[in-house]
Amino acid sequence: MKVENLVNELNLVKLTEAGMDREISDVYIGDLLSIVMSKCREGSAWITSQTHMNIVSVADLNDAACIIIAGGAQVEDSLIQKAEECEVSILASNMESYELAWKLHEVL
Amino acid sequence: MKQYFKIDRDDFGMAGEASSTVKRTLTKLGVEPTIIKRVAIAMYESEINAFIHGGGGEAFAEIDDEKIRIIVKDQGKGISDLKLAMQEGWSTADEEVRKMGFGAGMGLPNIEKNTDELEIITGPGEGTEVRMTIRIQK
Repeated sequence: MKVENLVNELNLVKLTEAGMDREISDVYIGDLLSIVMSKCREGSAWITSQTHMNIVSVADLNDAACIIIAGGAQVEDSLIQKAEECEVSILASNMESYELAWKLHEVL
Repeated sequence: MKQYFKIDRDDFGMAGEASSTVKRTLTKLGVEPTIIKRVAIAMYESEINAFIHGGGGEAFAEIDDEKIRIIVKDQGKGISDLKLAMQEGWSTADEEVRKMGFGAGMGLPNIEKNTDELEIITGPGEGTEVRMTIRIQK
């Protein structure tokens, strides 16, 4: 499934325009960045509650399909700007990680 | 091919940028994705360490047909007990940094796992220099 389709299926908030045609192959959930770096795979939709600038580098280095910020967390404009520059897609939802993962499992 | 990067302690938004640039270079050169992933992990971890613990520093990458050699160095307070620092889960990161998802104590172990050669030159008050080699041809 493409990122754009996921946005519609799960009614996610699109914080960036970048990377909407990327293909999602699986899901990874994590907030500890060292562990995300080793476990998140290419094409993963990465669910996290972290919202600082470095998540863009982590997603970029892992070729994650997109970042989904869970739990209705607020983000700074600078994060969105960096994500657009690095062509990393950031989506947001009021759903918590478990619910997001459950719904992703149903639609992928 | 050689690349040089400054790791600026005052610009958190740039932390990870050196690793991203090297990754893009390796992708363009057609290096195998599993090798690129190992380089990305090792370099990212050392870059973040230099940023968080070393107060910034510099990074060098040298790429040839056989290997990728990366050096990340800082002039921070150094590591007093390297053996302890290599253990998974051991970290000196403060609470603020941990809340941001760093300081899991996985940095150095991740570097060790993903490099073919690793040399760490450090000591109390001496800064830290991490020299890593990842071979392209096994």
